[in-house]
Amino acid sequence: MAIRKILLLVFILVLLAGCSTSIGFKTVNTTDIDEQQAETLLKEDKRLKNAVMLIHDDRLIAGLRVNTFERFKKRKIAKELTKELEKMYPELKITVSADSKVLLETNKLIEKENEQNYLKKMKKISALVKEET
Amino acid sequence: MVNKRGLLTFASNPVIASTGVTVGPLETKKSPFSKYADKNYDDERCGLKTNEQGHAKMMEDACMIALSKLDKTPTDAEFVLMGDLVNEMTPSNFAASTIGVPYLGMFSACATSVSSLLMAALLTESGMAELVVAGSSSQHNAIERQFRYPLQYGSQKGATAQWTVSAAGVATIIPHIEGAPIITCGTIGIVTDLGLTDPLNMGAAMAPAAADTFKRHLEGHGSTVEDYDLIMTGDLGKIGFELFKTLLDRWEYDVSSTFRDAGAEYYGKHPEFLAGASGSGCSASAYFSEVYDKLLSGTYKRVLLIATGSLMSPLSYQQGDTIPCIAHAVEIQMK
Amino acid sequence: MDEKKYQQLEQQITPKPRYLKNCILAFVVGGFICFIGQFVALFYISFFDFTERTASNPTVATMIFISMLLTGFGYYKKIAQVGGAGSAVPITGFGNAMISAAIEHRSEGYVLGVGGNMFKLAGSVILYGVFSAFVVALIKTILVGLGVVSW
Repeated sequence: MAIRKILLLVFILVLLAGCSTSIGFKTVNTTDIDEQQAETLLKEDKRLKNAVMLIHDDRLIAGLRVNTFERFKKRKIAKELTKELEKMYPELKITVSADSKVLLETNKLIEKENEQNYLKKMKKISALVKEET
Repeated sequence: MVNKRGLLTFASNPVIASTGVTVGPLETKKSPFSKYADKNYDDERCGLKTNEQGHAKMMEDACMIALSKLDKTPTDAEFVLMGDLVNEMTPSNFAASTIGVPYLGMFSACATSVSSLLMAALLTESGMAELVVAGSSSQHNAIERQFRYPLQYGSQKGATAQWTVSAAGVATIIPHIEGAPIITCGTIGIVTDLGLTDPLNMGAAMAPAAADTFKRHLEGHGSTVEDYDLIMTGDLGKIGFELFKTLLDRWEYDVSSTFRDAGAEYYGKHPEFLAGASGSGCSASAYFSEVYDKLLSGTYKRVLLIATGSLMSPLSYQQGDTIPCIAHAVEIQMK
Repeated sequence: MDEKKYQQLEQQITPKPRYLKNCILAFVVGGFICFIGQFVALFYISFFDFTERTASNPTVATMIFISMLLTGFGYYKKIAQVGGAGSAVPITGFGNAMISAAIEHRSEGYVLGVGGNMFKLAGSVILYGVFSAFVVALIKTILVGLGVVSW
């Protein structure tokens, strides 16, 4: 019976641990464009839980994670934000997605890669988002 | 005026000279009846290619065992009467083709064990046979596949579902000799249909047929419940058996003891098998193993065996038809 | 004994299916299967170039593969006896329906046996799945056409 109890405990711990990982709001900007505007837009959006934004060269990528119960509308949210960001920065190529892949990859990019690889990876992420099926 | 329809009395006292029972691997492990069996298999298909071939092999082996106990070969036997549940009874046909004895296919679904026994007794009674082989069999994989879903298909079975056994039971019937159980009389059942349609609750559909045959047998042959050491139904299962006893109770028979059901007991009332066992091999292998052995040893003096069968096909119940059921009774005495 | 009376008696004696227990078990078992599916999807997202959307295809294939192994070794039947709808509704149940039929009819050969019978149970899932998808799409197209909703 002891094993069962331990297993149950581990199971619950793993479950709860899954809930606590949070990236928060992050922005990295390698250009001299003012990112303040975009940052406030994302931060003030109540529907978002996490957001990672990377501005580099002529590209802007934002990976979002929406609140649990907004998940059904996440594509709509991403679309709305894309439009707003496009209005703010007409000179940038903008990719906004609520897909967790984008959040993960962008975060990895910021944490691990050096700036030389940014452009290549950013192009890849944008291509992934466009992929159908 | 007692209604004499369907009643059989064997004045010449034909006897069951020997039996042969073969059981599959699962039954060997789980069934309390398997310790009375003559042969167990490690493999469901008896080492052959298909389930149906294994089914035929089981039947054939049971026949050979029953004959070899009398030091006889198939060439000595005059008739073989057997059946099973597969389409057109092919396993029995193949088994009959291998042993090469004049053959009559019998079909009363799971009541085939008793119907073939009664026919064999009739042949012996008429004086036209000195040695008749009678029996029936079923094989789990072959039968489930025909009547239900594929074997590995995950469907949740309710508490009323029964598990088809893999077993064959065969008896040899000869004219009267001393020291063998005598087939004294029997009753051919009337098809009873009380409008039940659930093929996964066959026990409930069969119970009225069993009760009807039971009543007719007792009234027709003028016996009472107390005359018997054992009254055993075939494969009613736990729920069907409960219903059967309730029906008898309403007709004011004493159901407190002497009643048993082969289907409910077949897997030792294990909950994994839900309502119990079914299949034509269930009653045959229980009757011709434990019951026969106990008759020989004198534990039982007079038994009434009522095998029940639901006469449906996958087509009939898919078309929404009800399940007609039959029950045949045979009385065996040890003197 | 007439039919109605007997059917009443039968209803009394036959144990009632325990719906609440079955529902809870179906929820737990079905949930657990989806939980594993979520891990598989996460695996494809984190280690391969799949997004949440595109990861669903390899995830489905993997889940069917797992269900194939479970069916072949005879475990899926046992899971289904406990889980009921919980094991039948996810894609693994669909896989089980096809694979169990294929195993069953292997003895009749590959063309008439496996090929002809593989969709014996799953065929109706495909037919009515496609049909209901068609109906839903039709309704949505009409609604969009009328301007009630947008895509």
